[in-house]
Amino acid sequence: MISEREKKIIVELRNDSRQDITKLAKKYGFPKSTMYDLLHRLEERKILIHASKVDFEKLGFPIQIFMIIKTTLQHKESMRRFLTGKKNINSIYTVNQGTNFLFEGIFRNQKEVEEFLEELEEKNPLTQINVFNVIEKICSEKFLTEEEHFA
Amino acid sequence: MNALGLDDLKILAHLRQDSRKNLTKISRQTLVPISTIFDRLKKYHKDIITKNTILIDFKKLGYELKVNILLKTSQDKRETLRIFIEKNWNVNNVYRINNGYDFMVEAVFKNMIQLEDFNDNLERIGIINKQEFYILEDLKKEAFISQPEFVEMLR
Repeated sequence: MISEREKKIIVELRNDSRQDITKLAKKYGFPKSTMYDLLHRLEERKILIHASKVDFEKLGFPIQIFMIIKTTLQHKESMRRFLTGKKNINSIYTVNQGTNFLFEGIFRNQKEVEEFLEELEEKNPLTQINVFNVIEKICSEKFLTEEEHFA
Repeated sequence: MNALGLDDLKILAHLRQDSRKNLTKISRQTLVPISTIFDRLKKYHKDIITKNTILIDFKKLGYELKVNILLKTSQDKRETLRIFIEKNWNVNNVYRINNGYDFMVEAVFKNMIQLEDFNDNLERIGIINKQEFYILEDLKKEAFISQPEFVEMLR
């Protein structure tokens, strides 16, 4: 499914996606063109996207929360539209039967959180809502940062 | 209020969208000189930018299961649990959280057998409360401050 060369490039870019591809080619003794081809193929197949992770707190957004909500089957689509349209939402997943959503919100202060929650409940029929504040980020995007992880 | 200016947020939004984007392109799109962007990147590195990485569609690599797990253990076992999840190869993200749980763990597995092994190890440590959420679809990933055209709204 995935070649040894692809594994190497994935691990390298998981650790630093701004790395110079020419230097990587030299490191592993691959031709530069092969390295670029591998990367482009992975990008075209939408296996990976390049993204910088930032410390939101240092940008003035110290509150990170996860929410797990449940809606009814007939409101699943409107809920999806509501969440994807919100600027404060960093990541959204559908979970379990697809009527549950797990998402991560980033906020400037508690007032913003309260306003968001009010709007969420006002515009969407929810059968369940759980809110978890992040106290500490312990590790982030760690899987496949080492070749052994492919085992 | 942000200590950073609008140009900073725009540069960061470009990198959030594509961490490999070259500086010439960012400069053209933000109208910030390349030399300034270069200096700012040095400033952001390891401080504001915590990691330049790739986000992976694990399913396409053969990892069929992505699970979010909420975990609660007793206070005396918290450190053991933390060390276990931090070191486990299948774990992708870990957060310390509140509201009745200690950790939220995102882990990736090839199949149910791997997940069961992981769960068996958790049980051995001693879990008081656990909830598992199987991720069916990623609707949005790392989207906050990733659209340069909207960063002004965030100020």
